[in-house]
Amino acid sequence: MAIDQRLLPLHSARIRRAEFPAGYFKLGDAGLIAGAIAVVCILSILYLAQTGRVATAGYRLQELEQQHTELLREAEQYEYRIAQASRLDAIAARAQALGLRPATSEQQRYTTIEVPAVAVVATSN
Amino acid sequence: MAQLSAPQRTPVTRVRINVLLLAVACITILLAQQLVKIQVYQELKGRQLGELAQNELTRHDVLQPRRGTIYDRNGVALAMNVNMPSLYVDSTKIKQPEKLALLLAPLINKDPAEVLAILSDKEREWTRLARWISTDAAQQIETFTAGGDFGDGVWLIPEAQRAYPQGEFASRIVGVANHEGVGISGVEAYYDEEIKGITGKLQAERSGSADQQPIWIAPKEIIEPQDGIAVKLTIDSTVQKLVEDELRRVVEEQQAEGATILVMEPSTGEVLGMASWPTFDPNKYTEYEPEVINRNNALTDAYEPGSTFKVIVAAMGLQTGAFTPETTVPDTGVIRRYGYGIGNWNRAGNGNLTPGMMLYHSSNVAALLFGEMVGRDDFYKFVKLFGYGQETGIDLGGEGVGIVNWPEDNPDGWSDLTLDTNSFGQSIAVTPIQHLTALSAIANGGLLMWPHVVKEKCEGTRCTPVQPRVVRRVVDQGVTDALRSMMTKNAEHYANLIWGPSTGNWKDQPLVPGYRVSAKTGTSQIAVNGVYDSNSVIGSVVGFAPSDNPRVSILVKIDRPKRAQWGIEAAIPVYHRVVTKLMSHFRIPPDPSYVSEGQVIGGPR
Repeated sequence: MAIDQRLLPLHSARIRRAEFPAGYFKLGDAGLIAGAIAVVCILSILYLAQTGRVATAGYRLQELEQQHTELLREAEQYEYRIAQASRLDAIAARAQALGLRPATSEQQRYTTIEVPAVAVVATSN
Repeated sequence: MAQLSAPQRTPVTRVRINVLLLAVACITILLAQQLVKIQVYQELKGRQLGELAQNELTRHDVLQPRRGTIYDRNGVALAMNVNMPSLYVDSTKIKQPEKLALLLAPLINKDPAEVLAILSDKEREWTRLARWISTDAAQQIETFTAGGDFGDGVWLIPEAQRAYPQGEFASRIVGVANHEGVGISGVEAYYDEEIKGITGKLQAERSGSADQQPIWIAPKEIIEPQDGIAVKLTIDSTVQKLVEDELRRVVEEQQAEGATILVMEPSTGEVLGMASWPTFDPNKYTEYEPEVINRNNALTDAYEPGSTFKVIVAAMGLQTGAFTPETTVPDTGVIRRYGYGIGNWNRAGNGNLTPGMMLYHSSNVAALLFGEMVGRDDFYKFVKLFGYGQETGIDLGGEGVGIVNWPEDNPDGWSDLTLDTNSFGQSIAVTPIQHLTALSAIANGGLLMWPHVVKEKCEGTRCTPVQPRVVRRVVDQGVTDALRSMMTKNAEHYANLIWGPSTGNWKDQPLVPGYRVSAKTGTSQIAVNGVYDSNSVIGSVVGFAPSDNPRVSILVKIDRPKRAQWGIEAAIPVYHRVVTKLMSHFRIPPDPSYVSEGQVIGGPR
């Protein structure tokens, strides 16, 4: 069966365009320049917006890094204070301040703890 | 309808056009010439100008890595990094310098006049007044400068400082990293390459703000710094504290010139405690003489081991089969060799002595005879096998090798008399770490272990243990079993020094009630300008405990004690206290049956 080309959508659109005056869709020189300027402006605005966002994010990142550094310094200070507080001299002094004293040899008691025998259950496959 | 006529055009003469073209051409040529001059011929070429411009915008920073923390075996920090505030001033922006100087001086421990001189010098725009001040002082400075009464020329800037929160504690082992962050002694120096880390680099455009922080629109290059590794030492803080306390006590009591106490785990070679006198505070290392900071007496000091070396002679004889535990030699008190009379400490004889009784009586004559039975070749072969005259390889810098007069290296200086005197620990010098490592081989069944102070190395959360290393087998288990028995009897022989005054029992008895311990003492003379000084000695003890399954081996060495006539009187009480406390610390149950009349387990205090 033969196909009527005129019924196809692309073909019919081409026919419709051909009905417009010649040069209807063509831009003049001024139009081209105006269009180019518009495109450059839009791209510039997009670029500036993007750059602004990156810069803002950069400053935020910088602030966070600064916070991170300060927190690390704070953590270091705490670690240092913990290490100082872990000095055996300091612990002994604190214990004595609490009224504790080293056990004398007479006070030491040794107890032997009998460990109950553990039953071993043999298994086989 | 009126028609607009076209505007009448004014004719332009050809001359005018040519003049205009000429002017434009001239201007263009001038511009081109300038362009070529700048871009090609000028001293600063275009590329250089570009780089200069870029450098104005770009910030180059070195990113410092964090120096690794040093911990003891239980995770207590011994050396760490802390950012402490440093005080900077810009004198051109300071108001009321006189008042400010008076306020600052006491907080930074400086003379007010000195501070005022700096604050008043308007030529100085940026001066560091004090480095690493305390946080309390920094807070006070912040408080009184916050109102702006003194201008805005005072700055507190955090600067990384290597801090030693335990002060003098274990300073000989930990060592020091200087203000530039370079390890100069101890573990800090030995492991410096691994602890210091690798610097990084940041290259980025900077902001126009005063702090010139990098902005992140186009970071060009960031190489992250690699932090240094953290190391965990084999040092047990409780053991270290114990030996440091005992060290301080004996130096004070005996008015000794120096002392060293070493504690090692014989089965692994791990050093559990190491203390030498004098000590130093690494936080203030600039206040000490360099030799105090750089020298670890336990590794560097060579001394004659004296009678403690007789244990080694007994070991080599039993191992080579030169004699057995039952072999006897006649101890006549004095013996003549090569024209010299060599005698015991009291020049009294003790009859026929076995190796065990040679140790018991600490007989020089018997040791000499046993040494001769071993013979020159085997004697020095075992001296070498036990590690004398060479570095132990401990992971600390500055280790000495002692002095051994090897017959093959020094045929002119060595004589048969050298062998004889070496047999009772004279004419040979050892370092404390060498001697304890050798003794640990007897304690652990005959294996010479590599002594070390680092137990683990950690990168972040990933830790790699440092494995104990057997250097070589020196003697057989049977030999060490025999020696341990001899040395236990020896320890009982010294016990009356400790217990006699309180119990009235001056006979042999347990040195540490409840625990069989091994010990051998030595009193060494000190050679000064080639002659033994008759007025001063080194008292020492080596031993291990418990004898049957040693948990620790110990060396106590006291230099020139003033109160005790013999070194043993100074060293044995220290050894007794150290062993007693260590047995309790390691929770080793005592044997209640191994107690003599009047003795108390854990005593006397």
